[in-house]
Amino acid sequence: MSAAVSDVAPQASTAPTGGGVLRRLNIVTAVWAGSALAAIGWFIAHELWQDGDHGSDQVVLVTLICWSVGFMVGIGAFNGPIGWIRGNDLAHEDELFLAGKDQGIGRYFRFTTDHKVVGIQYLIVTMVLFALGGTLAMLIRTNLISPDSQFLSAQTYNAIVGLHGLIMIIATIIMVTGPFGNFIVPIMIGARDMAFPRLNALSLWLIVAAIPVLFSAAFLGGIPTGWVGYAPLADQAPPGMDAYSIFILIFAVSSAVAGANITTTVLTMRARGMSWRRTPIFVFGTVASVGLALPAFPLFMASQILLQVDRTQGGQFYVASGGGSPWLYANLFWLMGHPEVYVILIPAIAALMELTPVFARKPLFSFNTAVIAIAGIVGLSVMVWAHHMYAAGWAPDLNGPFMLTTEMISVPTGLLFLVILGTLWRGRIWTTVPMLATYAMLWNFIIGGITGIYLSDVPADYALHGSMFVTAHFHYTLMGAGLTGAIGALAYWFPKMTGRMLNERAGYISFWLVQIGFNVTFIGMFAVGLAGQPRRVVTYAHLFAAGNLVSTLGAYCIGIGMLVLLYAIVSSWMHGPIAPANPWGAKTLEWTVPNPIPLENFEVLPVVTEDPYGYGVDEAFLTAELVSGSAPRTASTGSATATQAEVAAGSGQQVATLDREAGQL
Amino acid sequence: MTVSAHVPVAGHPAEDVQVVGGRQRTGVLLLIVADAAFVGALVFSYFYLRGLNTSGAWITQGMHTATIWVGWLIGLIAVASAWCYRSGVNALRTGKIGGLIGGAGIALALVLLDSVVQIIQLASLPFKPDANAYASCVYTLAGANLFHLLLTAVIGVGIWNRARLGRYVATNPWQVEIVAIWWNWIAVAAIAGAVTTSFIASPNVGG
Ligand SMILES: [Cu+2]
Repeated sequence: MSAAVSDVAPQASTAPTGGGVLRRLNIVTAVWAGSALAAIGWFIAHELWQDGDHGSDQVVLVTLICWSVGFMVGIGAFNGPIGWIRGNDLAHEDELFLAGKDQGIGRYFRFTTDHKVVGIQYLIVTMVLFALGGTLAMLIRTNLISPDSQFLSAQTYNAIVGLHGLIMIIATIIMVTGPFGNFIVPIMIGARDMAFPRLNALSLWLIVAAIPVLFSAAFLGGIPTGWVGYAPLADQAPPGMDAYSIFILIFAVSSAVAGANITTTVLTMRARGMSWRRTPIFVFGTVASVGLALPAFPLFMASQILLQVDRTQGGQFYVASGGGSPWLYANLFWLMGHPEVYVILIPAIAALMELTPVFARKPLFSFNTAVIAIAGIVGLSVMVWAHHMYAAGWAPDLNGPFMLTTEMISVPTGLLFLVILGTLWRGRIWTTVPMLATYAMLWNFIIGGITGIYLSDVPADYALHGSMFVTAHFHYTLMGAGLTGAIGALAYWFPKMTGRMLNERAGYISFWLVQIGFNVTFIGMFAVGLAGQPRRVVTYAHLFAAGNLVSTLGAYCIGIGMLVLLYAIVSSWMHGPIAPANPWGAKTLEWTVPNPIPLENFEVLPVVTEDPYGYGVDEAFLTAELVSGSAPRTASTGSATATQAEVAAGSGQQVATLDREAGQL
Repeated sequence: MTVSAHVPVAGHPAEDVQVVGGRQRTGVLLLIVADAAFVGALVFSYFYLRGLNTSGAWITQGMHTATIWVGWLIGLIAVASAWCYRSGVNALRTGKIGGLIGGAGIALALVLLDSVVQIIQLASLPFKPDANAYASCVYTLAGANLFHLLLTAVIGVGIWNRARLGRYVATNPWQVEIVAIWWNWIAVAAIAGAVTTSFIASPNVGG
C-alpha cells in the first residue's frame, strides 16, 4: 500500500553495485515466471474444477490470475514490498540501479523507476495497442466494404469488434497521461522524479502483464458483447469474457496507482514559486484526467468482480430470475464510462492548449477560464451517465434531467474552444505539425460535440441509439479530438523525449492522410447511421452500400497515414536531426533541461517567477535556458534555429538567450 | 517561464522528513479514495438489488439468511484492532518503541483473528452464492472484507517487524501514522459491511 520509501532507518543493503535480485529480473524472467505459474494454476484448477458447472470459467480465471501474478513476480514488482517487510530499506546504489543508471537500453525492459523511462515505455505500449486496434479496425472496415462480403465470419466479426473497442479505449485512456504525464509532467513542474517512482514502474508493468490477458480473449471465444461488456450477455459469453474481466481488474489497479502517483506529484512536488496560477495548463489537464479516473475505474472493477461471481460461482447479480438486474451493470459501467470519456479527452485537449500559445506566440487566452472549464467538465461528467441508458428502460423519469446535465457539458467544453480560439486570434502563427493538430481538433471536435448534443436529446436518441451514427459520433470525439491531440502532443514533445526532431515532411503527409481519411470515413458513417444502419452487425442492407464503401476507403486512407506516422517516428527516432534543448522557444520548464536529460532532470532545482505563457510582443523571442555543464549545441530544424545557452560548466549558472529567426514567427 | 534563481545542491541532500511524510500520506489517501469507491460500489449493488427486488427473488421465501451479529463482530474486532494500532502509534510519538511493537503486534493478532472469523463466516453461511442476489451480495462483501483484512495483516507484519528491528523513531513517525490511516479505513469498511448486511428483507415487496 504505502510506497515504502526509507525513513530514518540505517541502510541494510551495502552491495556495491546495488539492485540485488532485481539485477537478474527483466521482461524475459517475467514471461517465464508468468507462464510457469499460469501452467501450474491451469493444472490445479483443471484437476479440481473442470467438470463442475462453471469449470471452464474457473480454470480460465485461475490461469489468467496466475499469469499476472507470476509476471509481476518475475519482473520484480514484489521485491520492494518484501524487502520493506523484512526491514531492508533501499541503499542509494539500489535506488540508482532501480532508476536505470548506466544500464543503456536494458533499463527499458526492467522494473525501472525513472519517470522518463516509464514515459517511453508507456509510449511504446500505447503505440503497440494502437497498431493492434488499428489492424482490427482495418479488418472490420474490410468486412463492411460490401453488404455481405463474407470476409469474416459473424462470430469472428463480433469478437473483433469487441476487441477493437476495448483495445482502443485502453489505448486512448493511457495515450496522453501515460507517455507525457510520466515523461513531461515531472520536468514541467520542476521535480526530479515522480512522488512514488516504484509505483510508477508498477503501473506500467501491470498494463504490460494485462495485454496478453486481453489478447487471450481472441482464443477463448472472443468478447461478443462489444467493449461495454453488457450483462446479461456477459454472463452467457464464452471464456473470452473472463479474460475481459481480469484485464479490467488489472487495468483498474494500474490506473488507481498511476492516478494517486501523478496527483500526489503535482500536489506536492511543484517547483518553488510555481503557484497554481503559474502551473502549466497541461498539468491541470493531466491531474483532472487521472484524478477523475481514480474514483471512476474502481466501479468498473467492481462490475467485473460481480460478473466473475456470476460466471464462476453461479452468482445472480445480473440475472433477473435470481433477483439480479442488468441495470446494475449498466449503472456501474456508465458511472465509470462517461467520466472515462473525459479521462481521455481532457489531457489531449490540454496538451493542445499547452502548445498553441507556443506557436501563436501569445499567452494562453484566459488561463482562468481554461481551468474553470476543466473543473466544470470534471464536475458534470459524473452526473450524465444515464444518457447511455435512455432506451434501456431504467428510470425513464430521469431521462429529462440527464438530458439537461449532458447538454450543460457543452458549456465548459465550449469554453475550451474559446480559450484556444482566443489564443489563436491575431497570433502570428508558426504552422508546425503540432499546430496542425490543434486546427484538426477544432474541426473534428465541433462535429463530435454537436452530434453529441443530438444524441443527448432523448427523442433523437430513441431513433439514433445503437446505430452507426453513435459510432461515428464517438470516433469524432475520441479519435478526431482525442487521438489527434495525442499526436500533436507527440510531435510537440518528441524532440525532448527522443533528443531528435520529428521528420516534418512525413509528419505533414501523415497528418493530411489521416485527417482526410478520418473525415471521409466517419462522415460516411454518419450518413448510414442516420439512414438506420445498426452498429456491431456483420452484414447490412443494400441501401447502406455506398456510404460503407466510402467509409472503408477512408479507413484505408487513415491506415496509410498512420503507417507514414509510424515511419516518421521510427526513422526520426533513429536518424533524425539532433534536437536543440528548446526547438520551439517554449517557456515551460521541460524545455530548460538539456538533451539528453540527466537522470535527475535538474542539477539545480528551478524557482519559478513568472507564469508559463509570457509570450509578449516585446519578448516574444526570449527563452530562458538553464543548462548546467552540458556542451553547447546547435541544430537546424528546417523551420527554426535555436542555440543553446552557452554556460560556464559546473556552476549551475543560468543564461538567457534570444536566438530565434524573427522571420519564422 | 523564467528561472530566475536557484538553490545549488551538491549530491541532492535528502528531503525533509516532514515533506516526504506528508507526500506519502497524500498518496495513501488517494489510494483510499479509490478503494472507497470500490467498497461503495459493492454497498450500492447490495441496496440497489435489494430495492429493486427483481422477480421478487432478492431473497428466497423461507431461506436462512446470514446471522447479522457475525458481521458486527467482524466489524468490531477490526475497530479494536485499529484502536490498538493507534495506541502503538501514540506510544512511538512519546518515544516508547516497545509500545509500538506491542500495539502493532496486538493489532496484527486481532486482524488475523478477524480474518479467521471472516473465513469461518464464509464457510458456514447457510446458502451458496448462486442462491439469489442477496446471497451473491453477502459473499462478495465478505470476500472483499477478507481481502482488506489479509492485506492489512501483511502490512501489519511489516510494521511490527520493522518496529522490532528499530526502524522507527519518535522524530519520524510518518510511516506508522500513514498505516494507521489505512487501518482506520478498513475498520470503517468492515463496519459499513456490517451495516449493509443488517438490512435484509427488501422494502419492495411488490417485486
Ligand atoms: Cu456518455
